[in-house]
Amino acid sequence: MAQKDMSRFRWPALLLQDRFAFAAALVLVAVAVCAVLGPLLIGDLATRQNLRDPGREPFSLDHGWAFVLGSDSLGRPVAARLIAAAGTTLSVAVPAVLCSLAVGSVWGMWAGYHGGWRESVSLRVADVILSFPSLLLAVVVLYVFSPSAVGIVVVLAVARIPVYLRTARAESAELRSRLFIDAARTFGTTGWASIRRHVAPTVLPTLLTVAALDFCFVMLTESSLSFLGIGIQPPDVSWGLMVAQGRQELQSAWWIAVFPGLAIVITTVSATVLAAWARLSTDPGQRWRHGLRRGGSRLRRPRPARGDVGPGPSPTAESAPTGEGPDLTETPPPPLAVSPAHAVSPAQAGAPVAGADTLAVDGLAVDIRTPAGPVPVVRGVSFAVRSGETLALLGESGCGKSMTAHAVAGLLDPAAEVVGGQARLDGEDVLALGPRARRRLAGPGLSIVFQDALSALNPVLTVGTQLAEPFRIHEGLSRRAARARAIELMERVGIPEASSRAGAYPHQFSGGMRQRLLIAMAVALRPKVLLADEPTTALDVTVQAQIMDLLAELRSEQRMALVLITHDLGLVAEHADRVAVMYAGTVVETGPVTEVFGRPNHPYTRGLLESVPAEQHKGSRLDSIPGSPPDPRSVPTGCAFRTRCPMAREVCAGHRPTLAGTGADRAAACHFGKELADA
Amino acid sequence: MPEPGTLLEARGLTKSFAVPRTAKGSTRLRAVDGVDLRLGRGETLGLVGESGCGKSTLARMLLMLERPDEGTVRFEGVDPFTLSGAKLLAWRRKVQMVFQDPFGSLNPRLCAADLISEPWLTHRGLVPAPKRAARVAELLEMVGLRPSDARRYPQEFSGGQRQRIGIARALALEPDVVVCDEPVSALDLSVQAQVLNLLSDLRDELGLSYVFISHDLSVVRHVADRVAVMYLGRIVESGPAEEVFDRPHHPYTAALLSAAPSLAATGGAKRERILLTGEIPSPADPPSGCRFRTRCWRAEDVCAEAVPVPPLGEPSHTAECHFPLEETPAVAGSGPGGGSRSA
Repeated sequence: MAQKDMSRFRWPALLLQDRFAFAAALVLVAVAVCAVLGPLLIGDLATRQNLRDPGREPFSLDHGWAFVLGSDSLGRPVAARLIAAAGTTLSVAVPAVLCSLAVGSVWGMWAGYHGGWRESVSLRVADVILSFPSLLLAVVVLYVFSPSAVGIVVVLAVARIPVYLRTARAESAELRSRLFIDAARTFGTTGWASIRRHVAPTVLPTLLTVAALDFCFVMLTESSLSFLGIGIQPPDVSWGLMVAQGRQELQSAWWIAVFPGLAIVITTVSATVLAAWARLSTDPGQRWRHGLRRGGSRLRRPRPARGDVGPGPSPTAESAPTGEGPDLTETPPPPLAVSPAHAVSPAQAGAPVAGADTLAVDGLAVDIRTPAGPVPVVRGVSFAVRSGETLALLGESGCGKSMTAHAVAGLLDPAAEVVGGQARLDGEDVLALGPRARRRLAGPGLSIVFQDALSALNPVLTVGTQLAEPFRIHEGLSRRAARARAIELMERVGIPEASSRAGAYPHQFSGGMRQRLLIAMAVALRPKVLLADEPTTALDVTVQAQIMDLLAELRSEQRMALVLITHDLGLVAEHADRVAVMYAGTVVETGPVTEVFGRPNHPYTRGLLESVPAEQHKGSRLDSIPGSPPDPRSVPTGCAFRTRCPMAREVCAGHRPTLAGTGADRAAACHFGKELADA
Repeated sequence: MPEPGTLLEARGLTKSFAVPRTAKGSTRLRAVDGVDLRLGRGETLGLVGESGCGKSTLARMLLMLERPDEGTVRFEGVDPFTLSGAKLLAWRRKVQMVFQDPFGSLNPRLCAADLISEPWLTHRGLVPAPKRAARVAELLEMVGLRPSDARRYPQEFSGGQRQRIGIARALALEPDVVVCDEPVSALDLSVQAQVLNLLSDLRDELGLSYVFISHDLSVVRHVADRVAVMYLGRIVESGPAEEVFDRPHHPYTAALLSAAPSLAATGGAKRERILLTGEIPSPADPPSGCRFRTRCWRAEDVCAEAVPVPPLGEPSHTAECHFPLEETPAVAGSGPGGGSRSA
């Protein structure tokens, strides 16, 4: 969600944020400057021998800056030689890396984009090259032919091609199945044009990161070869060669070998640090996480920890005396726009006495922490559901309906945080409970069915084991007894041949059967409240009908309260008793489904109902709500719906309407709710 | 011989994919199995079916993204699979696609103008370089976006707006046929209506023909002139939209219509529904004879033995069924009474 903002960050700014990466970049720039300007600076200092005065001690400026790091056994200044060697080292490493990067990435993208035999042949070639130890290969080749800088570059470049080839192949093979590549094919764009336009820009950042890491490897290999005497040959000088030359005198003149050694270590570590940083900052997922950590630590401080709050009124609802103030201004609503006025309890809103409600959510507010600050995604949601009743939380994507369910179930993402409100399960606020008490409630008190059954089931455990888990944890049953209960449960939810299929794994079931398993798990301990988060969205209509019937049967059998979270108006119409319509993180209308759908009291509900391409509209233009749902970061001031509302007037911009009763058992959050109800 | 007015025609299209050996020893998954299609000029053909019925594979074959194992595709009488070079490019221009996923079908690294003008980089002669910016602005306006949106990136748009960019890109080549693969199923209801309106406006304005693929019957019912219902790689029923929806002949169509939740049911009055048992079988091991027989409440012995052949007499509305529901006066929203398993 915050990727849009993050993409605006320019990389120098990001680099400045990370001290290590910044220092690493400075080191590499310094090395590069030495390599380029070195010959101008030092002239022939690096090779001029001074046999009368060998082995000068370091850290003395008596003989000029070139001798600050001492001199070697031939009287040559170490500092000047280090600078000269930087040039040699880079002149080997940079061309080698560039060559293998160019060849390997183009080859890999070509292989990955086309697939088939091109891919297989390329990968086998890469395997063959990789199966030779590259250092050994270099030793052999350089030993047979005369050692030279060009020889090293060629050998290292060839040896490192597979690294780029495989990375580029993997990344572009993943892209091959992406829709935008298909789209390009429908225009007739194929082959190199498609690689150039779509594959290369996507794959290159990764490859550059690999190149930075590879740079270290090549530099170390060159140093090793030079150390072995088959790399750079005197009178040229490289860091590896300097170490080799200095090692005999390590005891008498340590500085001759230690300083070039340090240069190798610092340069490689810098390149590694920079590569790691580059990988983090080009991967949007990682960057997002990175920002989160910072945002999170900054945010948490001013707020009291939730654990300290007893089951009494929530701190945010109490400590918001300026609740009406910010709403009047033109600035976007502050993150904590949950004023006491918004936390209308369902009782006030016309619902029956709170005591009868199995689950009563009251003024629930959830923020998501982002690098740009907290974003309120649930802004004071209140609803209540009784046992044996189905309440539908209806809303479009991003309206906060799933977030509400996850908050109530205690399954919020670490980036999200409950910042206000209560969720009373039989009178007890579950949001105020500690993790241990909450876990006890999970199952017998409150359970949840997810949309994606495949990822909600553990792929490496048999379904029998997974279904037995609730009984083993909560009822302490033996393995055998729990398994028997699990099989019973599987039979109950309509899985044929339950006893033999209990040993099967989730992937061996069809989508509908998996959803049945998930429901079985959720109702295993006869929960008081079952939250079903889009339970049939991933299923076909014919299977959806079966699942909805199963849920209805279980609900009446176990007297559960069912909270059905969905975006499907038809599903709500057929299966729910009451509905709470959500928009931009708040409930905008509640009431019995028949009445709400029959005569909506909120313009949004009305707009939604008119958008359904039903029979009466056939062939004609559909009535639609203009615009699209607001981004949680920029919800309009006042009434969140006003920018799309045909009835919006001045009052809507200034005051946020609260959920107010518009009839028996009905409420709407609209300044004109009463008028709509009476019309 | 194409019938007069036929723009796009498919005959006996079959496509199978290699799969690991299944329980019954099959190694081919027949995604599409002998499909005939005909799209008239200016017509909207709705293609309905559940997931795995092969409707997307069929669409990909119509766009030459997959090569069929058997059968032919003809566009104005020309088989594109025999073309190459400039002629193939010219054909590509005529048939374009709008994808389901407005997030995956747009390269996130390109801005709206680059995305929309991308086809012109391949079709160089179509819009000369100096005129491209103006044409992009024109297309953006046509799909209801602002010309100033040209420099924005996909992630800065909402789902509905992205789908509009996808539509603008498909229109950049001035196609005759647009294949819409679930164009609104990823969109919210309030936005879905806007995009459906846009598609029908464009059809009227530009004289486009659509192949409209969807699993949502109410959407297809709204836009389609003719409907083809797919089940397990075959078209089991096809005909004029009104007729198919009001008087389905195939039991599967009837079940599909009855399973779709509708607002008409508001009021707690439980309508009679056909509740199918089981799920769609694997296309790697389709049932013998009629493919629907394993879930059909009217199935008899003959269904397992012989593949039903549509009657020759009535070409406009046909169903592949041994026992079609012809006499039953089925009404949308309530299932046919006779022999239905109701809940």
